[in-house]
Amino acid sequence: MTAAFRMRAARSAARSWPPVLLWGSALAAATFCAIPPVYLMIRAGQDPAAALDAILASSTLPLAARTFALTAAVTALATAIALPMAWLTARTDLPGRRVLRVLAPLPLAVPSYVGALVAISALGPRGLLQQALEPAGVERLPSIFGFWGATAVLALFTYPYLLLTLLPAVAALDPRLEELSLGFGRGRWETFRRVTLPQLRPALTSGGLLVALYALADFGAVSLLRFDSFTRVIFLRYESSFDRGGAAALALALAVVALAIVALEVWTRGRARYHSAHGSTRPAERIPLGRWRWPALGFVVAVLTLALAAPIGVLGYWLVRGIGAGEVLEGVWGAAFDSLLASALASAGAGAIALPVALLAVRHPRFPLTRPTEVLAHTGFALPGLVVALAFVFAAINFGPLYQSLAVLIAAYALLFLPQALGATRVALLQISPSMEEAARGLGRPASRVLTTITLPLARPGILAGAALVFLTTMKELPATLILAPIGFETLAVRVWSASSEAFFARAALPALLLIALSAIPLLLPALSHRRQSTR
Amino acid sequence: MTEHPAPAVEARGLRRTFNGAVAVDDLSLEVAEGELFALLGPSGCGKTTALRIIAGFEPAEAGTLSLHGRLMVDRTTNVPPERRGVGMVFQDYALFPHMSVAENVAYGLDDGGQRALRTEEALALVGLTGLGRRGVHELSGGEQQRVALARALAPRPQLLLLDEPFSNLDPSLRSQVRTELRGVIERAGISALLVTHDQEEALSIAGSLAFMWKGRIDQVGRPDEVYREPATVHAARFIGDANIWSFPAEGGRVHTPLGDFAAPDGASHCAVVVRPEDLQVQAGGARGEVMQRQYYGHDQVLFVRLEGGTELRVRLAPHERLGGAGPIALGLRRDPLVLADDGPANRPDDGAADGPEDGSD
Repeated sequence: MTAAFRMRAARSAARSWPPVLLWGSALAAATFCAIPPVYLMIRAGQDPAAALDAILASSTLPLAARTFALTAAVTALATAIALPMAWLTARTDLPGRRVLRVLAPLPLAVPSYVGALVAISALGPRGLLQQALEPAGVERLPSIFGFWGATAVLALFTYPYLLLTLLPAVAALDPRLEELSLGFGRGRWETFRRVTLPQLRPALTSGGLLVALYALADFGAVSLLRFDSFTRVIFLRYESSFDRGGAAALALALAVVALAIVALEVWTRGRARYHSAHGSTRPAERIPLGRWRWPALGFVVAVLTLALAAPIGVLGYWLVRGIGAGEVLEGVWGAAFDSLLASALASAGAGAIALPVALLAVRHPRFPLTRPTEVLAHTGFALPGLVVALAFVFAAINFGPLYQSLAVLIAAYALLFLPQALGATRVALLQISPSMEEAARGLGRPASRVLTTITLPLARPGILAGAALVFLTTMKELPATLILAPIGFETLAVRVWSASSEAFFARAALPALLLIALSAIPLLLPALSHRRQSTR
Repeated sequence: MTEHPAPAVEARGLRRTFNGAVAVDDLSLEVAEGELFALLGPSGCGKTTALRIIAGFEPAEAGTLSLHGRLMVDRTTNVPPERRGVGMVFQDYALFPHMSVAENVAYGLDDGGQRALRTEEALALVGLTGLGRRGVHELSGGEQQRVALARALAPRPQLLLLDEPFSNLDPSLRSQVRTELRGVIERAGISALLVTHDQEEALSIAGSLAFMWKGRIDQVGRPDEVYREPATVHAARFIGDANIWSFPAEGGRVHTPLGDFAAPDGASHCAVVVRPEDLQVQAGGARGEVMQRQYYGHDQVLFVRLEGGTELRVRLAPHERLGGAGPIALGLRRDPLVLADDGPANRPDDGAADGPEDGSD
């Protein structure tokens, strides 16, 4: 090959590059997402000896083991709740399954620290249950605090992550495979274990990953339930002793644990690749539950009672009692406004960052910058909110005026929840045939006009769904908000937290209820719009 | 010399590879002003890539392209698709689902008083007057195709590109839509380049066609020329029905059961191409046995095994030699086409030389 030919080949390869504006903004997004890991490494590297001490301290290993045990237990319990719920509501003749299917994911709207608060106020020492049982001579209940309390609370409020990934997979199960297995004389249980479960494995691992990362990153619930996991120890170090190097080192260690969990999921997924069944044309028969109908309904209702009805009921009780006792409710509306503002800005920000990354990933998958950009954009997925917040503190201090500004908080939200916006935008773009965009360009419209008149209008439902998800998650976010919120900026989450950490349950009730109500809106939207369509 | 208008398409040496695999190799072609030109070839031969290079959706790694005398592609130039002034109809029509029929058609028109008028004109041109307010999902496949055509024609391009425009249509609709399309293109007074894998489509609609094989153009000509005198074995096999045998050449001649014929100079192997309609029943001809008869109404095809084992298909008029199996004697209406067949790469798939070769699909 002659040099001249090589040069020509290089030039024509350059011709097929995506527009500079597109890959430039995607690159900027990726650089932005690289801030937390880079700053943590810089910070820990400034005093490597101290950082090493913090990581190698005799307390760190048991801390890591405890955190890992909690993560595993939560994931297992959430699976035990979500798997039967998905199967019962999607595949069987469970009574009331239509209503239950709408209700089942709603506990996602209850932040885990609100769940913990409710559990403590109801089941803790001098809580509602103990007070009710006092006349019967019950002085003490088994302790709600510690490992098992934290596990139960986290599983009850994170199972919807698994449920939501499982539902489409359960609905897409090819009934012919199960019928085949039953036809071979395998029992129902063996069929489930050997035929159904393997088909659900991809959904189980990716949903399980979401639950595990949530449990690993959770700060509010474990703190209220006094379980010393990584996040609580890091926060205490940062807050009380101002040991920022040590906090950074531990945060780095936590980040490594999170990355290890992500790698584990990628590894298991990489070995087992399941293609979705090629169009099972016939909808699956509903499996009759027979005499198991009522026990099954009892199970689903019990879960929803604990995860949905109980929190709302207990909070309502505290609210009424608080109002009766003259509890001041002022300031709540301001906090609700701050929450809405922050969530709206975060979903707009995450959506705006996600768009160029998704466009690059979908339309230019072979471009050399595409893969690294995509990987970096998922930083927020693996890094706990606390870790990202600490990194932004360190970064913002170096950029003086930004420290303690709303912009930094919004930036942290956008980074943390970018993967949610990215996933929804990507799926939406993948559904638009490239020939549609080419047709528009062939009709004389430049790429920018094609984006605004064809691509974005067609992708809008997906982009909005992603924004709604970011909105919901930002509403509930606690640790990053605690660390990064500017003075005087108080979200509902922070208000619930400060009231409940001092056991002022009545004061926490109204903001917690508002938080649940506002977070539920994006979860109910699809069900509502679906109903409107089907009645038409 | 009189001055000719510049050709609608003038491509010289276009080349495009994907990860090292050559999709389009040294492709040159010329579409005259006002001509309906078909680029014909099996799927994967690179014809769609060639069309996409001409439309500007795919960069060329080498070669030049001019449209109506305007340079579009060379080593330093690559005019973006929106500035090529070319109308394109996609295989999947690519109608915008969030717009009405009229909005789709008007998409390429600039705002102004003429916009609504021009939209109506374009819809009338394809016979869809009055359907402008419909959603594109409410239309049948044939109507969608006409909307795609109206949308491409509305900005009055001088050149129309069509990518397999009939492949998504019901077979019973195709011939009707084909006739309509040709009428619309003639009325609009423009040139058109059509890509297709359907030889019947290319033969029936095009003024000229190019046969493409493995990224290269094997032959260009009028449909009857390419059918009568295919330049390569692939063209002979792909376009129309043909009996193709492979024979060694001896002393400049090939010996076949139907006679001896001159071999091309210097060829050691020859492909002998006989169209089924070029055979006739002939007393004293090569003797064989009718194995099967397929009756089509407008004609019939006999499957014959000659003495010595060579099998061939014979197309006869519908009432000639009725009856089933039995002895037959065959002769040629005209000399067969004898092509050099020395490429060893070609020969393995010629092993089935006497198998049925149905070019259409």
